[in-house]
Amino acid sequence: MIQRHPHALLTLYVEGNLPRRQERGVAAHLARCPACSAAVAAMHPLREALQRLPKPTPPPYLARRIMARYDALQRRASFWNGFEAIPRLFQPAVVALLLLITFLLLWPARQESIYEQATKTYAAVYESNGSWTALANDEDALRFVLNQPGEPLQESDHDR
Amino acid sequence: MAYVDEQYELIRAAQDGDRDAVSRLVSIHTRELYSLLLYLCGNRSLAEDLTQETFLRALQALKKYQFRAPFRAWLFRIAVNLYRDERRRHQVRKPVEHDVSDEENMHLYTADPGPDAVAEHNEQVQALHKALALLPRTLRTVVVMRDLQELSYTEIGEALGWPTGTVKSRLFRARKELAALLQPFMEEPS
Repeated sequence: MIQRHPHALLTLYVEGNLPRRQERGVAAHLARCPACSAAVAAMHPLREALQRLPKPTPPPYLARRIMARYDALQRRASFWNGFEAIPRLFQPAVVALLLLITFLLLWPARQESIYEQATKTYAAVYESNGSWTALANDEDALRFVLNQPGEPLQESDHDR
Repeated sequence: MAYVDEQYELIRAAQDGDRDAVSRLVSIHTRELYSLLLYLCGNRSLAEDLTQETFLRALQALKKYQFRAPFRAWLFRIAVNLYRDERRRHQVRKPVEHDVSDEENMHLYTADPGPDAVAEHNEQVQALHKALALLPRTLRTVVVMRDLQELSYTEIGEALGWPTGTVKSRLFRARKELAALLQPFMEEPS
């Protein structure tokens, strides 16, 4: 009984990639080994079928999406590369400066949120009373909220 | 020893940060990478995500690529490792049924094959996909890389971290198991 089967050589044999001398050796083995002979016989149509399998096509947006993410990573990397290019001694100063700029940029947003809060308060009062007259005592504050300094507040027909 | 890749100039330009070269590399390798990952995981959406992730990892590490292995093998190694990680995370034992549309199957015919031939062919394709999905992961990977994607033994060895002798013997095992699974479909009608 054959103890060793030359699987690596059989793979090359099926593909027709063996040198002539080795091919003869494998053919001799196949003549004596029914198991390998049957396996090799089944592999020829299998390889043909596998090679005829359709190659899946990626969706057209995939390459574009990859490049978009690559660009985003590059932008982020260039920011950090720029920071690392600053001498170590000045890096804390740059961080402090960036924090200051961020704070200054966010300040107007904070102011705005105060206005928004006031607007909501007055709107709530208006809704509960159904009339501007309820707000007459705080007219200046309402002008301030509506950003209409100097203009007298007038009741609409609906308010009456 | 450095491996002289046919895309040497392109890879060098990409390593130097040339965006066009990067874009070209992506468009050259997207299809084969996506194809490999689709055959491994059997799910289009996951294959897209893994293809994207593979490229991003590869491009981030591109400067470290030193031509010691073929570029394609290096890329495939990243893809296979990513798929392995994904599989571990989600404990996917077997891929879901392969999702290859009838339209793609039709591309195999250059002339009008007639409805019977199309039906027979589709049946065989479906059987092949099912049999591939039933193969153990390592055997499926090696057979897809060799018989579908036509990678060399060296490339497969580099991508999977195996000696070429192991690639050849596992390929034999993979084909043998696949042939056994497909026996009813491969027999010629008498």
